[in-house]
Amino acid sequence: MTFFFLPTILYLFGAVTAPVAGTLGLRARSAYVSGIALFALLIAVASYPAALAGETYWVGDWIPAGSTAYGISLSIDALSWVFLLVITLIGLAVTIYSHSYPMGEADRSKYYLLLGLLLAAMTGIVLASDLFNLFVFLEIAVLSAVGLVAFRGEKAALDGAFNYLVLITVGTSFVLLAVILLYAATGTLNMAQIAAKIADAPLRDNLAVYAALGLFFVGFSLEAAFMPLHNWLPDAHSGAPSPVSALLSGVFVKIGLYALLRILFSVYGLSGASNLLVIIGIVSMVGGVLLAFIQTDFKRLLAYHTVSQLGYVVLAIGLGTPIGIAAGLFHMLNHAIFKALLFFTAGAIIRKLDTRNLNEMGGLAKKMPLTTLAFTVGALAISGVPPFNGFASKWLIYNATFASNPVITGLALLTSALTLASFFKVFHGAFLGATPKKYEGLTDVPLSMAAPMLALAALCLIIGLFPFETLNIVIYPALSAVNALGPIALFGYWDALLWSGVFAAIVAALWLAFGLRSRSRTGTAFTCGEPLETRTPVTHFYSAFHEALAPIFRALESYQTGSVNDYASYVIIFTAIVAAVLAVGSASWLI
Amino acid sequence: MAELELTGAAVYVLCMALVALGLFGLALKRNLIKIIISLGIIETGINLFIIAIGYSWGGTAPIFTGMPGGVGPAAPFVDPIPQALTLTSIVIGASVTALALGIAIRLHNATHSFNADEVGDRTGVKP
Repeated sequence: MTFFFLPTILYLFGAVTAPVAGTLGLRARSAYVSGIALFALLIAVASYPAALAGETYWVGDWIPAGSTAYGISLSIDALSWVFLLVITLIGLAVTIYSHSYPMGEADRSKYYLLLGLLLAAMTGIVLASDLFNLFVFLEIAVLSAVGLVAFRGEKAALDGAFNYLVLITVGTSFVLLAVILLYAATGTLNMAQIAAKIADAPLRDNLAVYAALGLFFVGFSLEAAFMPLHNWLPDAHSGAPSPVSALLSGVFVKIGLYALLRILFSVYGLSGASNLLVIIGIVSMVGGVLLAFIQTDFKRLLAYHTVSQLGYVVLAIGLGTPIGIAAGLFHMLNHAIFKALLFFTAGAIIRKLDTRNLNEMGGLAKKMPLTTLAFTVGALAISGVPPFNGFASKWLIYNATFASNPVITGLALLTSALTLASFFKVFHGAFLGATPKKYEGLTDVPLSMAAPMLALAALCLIIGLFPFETLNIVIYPALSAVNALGPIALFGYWDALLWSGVFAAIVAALWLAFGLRSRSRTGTAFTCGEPLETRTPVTHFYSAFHEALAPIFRALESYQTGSVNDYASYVIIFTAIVAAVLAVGSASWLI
Repeated sequence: MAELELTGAAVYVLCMALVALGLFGLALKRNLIKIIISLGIIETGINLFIIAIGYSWGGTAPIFTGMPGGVGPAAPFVDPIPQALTLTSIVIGASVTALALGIAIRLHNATHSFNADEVGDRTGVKP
């Protein structure tokens, strides 16, 4: 029996029926939506055999006549399944976590409606097998995501939501235009049929098909927040309620990446290295971490790390080798887990302290031990420290880049070190030191918040301890869907001790250079017996580093103008660049 | 004087000109309402483009008047699929516009301004 598409229907059903369950009370509603999210996850897991074999469901029983598909169809393969697993897994964690997120009763109905729509639409995107439905599901996801970003109604959140909506709508318009161009060229919307029709002729022979490739690239680059087009992300992801930030940052940005992979590999049938993706990956990776470095807003810092970590994924996939794509998909999976975990801990702290400013936090380790534990695991995982899952996938990325260009490996290692340094700043700022007077009576988070955090933290450790099992079961089957068959040659460089040593050396060097010069955050001065609290703001934590790289930081900050007009200009410039690359570049530039 | 006739290519160029106009409106207009109108212009350009793609010159409406197996339309008819796509796309465009206007009103309530420069701000702390 075909049942792999049920998560989409379940989420939709849950979205509209949650208010009915809400009449029975807060707990009944949370139990109901969590039950639905759990059921969706179980169905996704049970769909694994279907994903390996490849299955298609014809909506409304419009079975194709001969080789021509008329109706809408949903299909699953191993690549879809990886993303389906990520959506349903993080979807369950977010749904449970939302129980303790404070909001009014009327708001809660709207919240679960939008959350259910977003989850349903994301599963729809990864299962859609015709281009127009991919576009429709994408629009549903965008509209509900924007509604969730604006949910708290603060000015900053509204501003972020408006910029998000405008820029993403430009992206989806490009996608629609590309879909129509492909329809005009091939007379069908079904991905498999388009692939069969454009496989015959060289790509550049058909202008419509070739232009559509560029439009898809720009459209999904906006969705996936690649570095020159990332501007909407920090405002949107930091303005949203924390559970939603976890879902947007952990899952939704990767849906744009999924769509890009699906178009490039399945529809256009491309394979091999893409210099453009590699360059975008490096820029995102390094630029994102530098921007994260100077943030004092906890959630903005996490949002910039999303840009940086997605850079790793794009870089690895851009290499085009089987190991590179495996590393990219593996890091995508791991990032979903530890980024959701980190946003959960940020949400726990923000809920308790009512501030996002790291300068106002301190000494939380004593007050919130569970949150501290969860944050430590997440921070070590995102920084690629063994034995957590981030190390396993970054290790693969180091391997993949080392085989292509060792300079990129150096940059990836440097980014990991900067990530660790940035999270050390957060750890020091929020969890260590003396507790400010106003937080004396602080207690740890309730079980509904602690349970998803600890479960995700456990997953970080489990995947980190069993990377080969995870790769064999989850990641490697997906490689056939992206035309990356071939031996995974990594054993030559698979030397844990060497890489751990290099990593430790870089961290130690940074520590010696900048860490030792930071001042203690609290101290007592002689004030004739009067208590006095002196605190060093976290912005001064790596002050030597900040001063040394001040021009770079200023340039990066000035790119983030906050004006939607500027961001739209960046999109136009980026489109022109992609068009130029397509016009003059060889095939290896845009895959 | 030859009668002015819109050929297929000219229609396509006009549609793309609308899309480009909307994009430059997004980049140049500071007023939130004008930004939303620019989004609408992009959508209109694309919708017209979809219709133009499916149109066949001299074609009739894609409606079968005869019985199944009977006589179909005499002339070649226009492609109905793009028309169905356009309907969906118009609905989506209306939703986007409604949501954007709703957010713009909330922003105006908060800041008493429709100016994107006054409404937008960076919440991050500079180094």
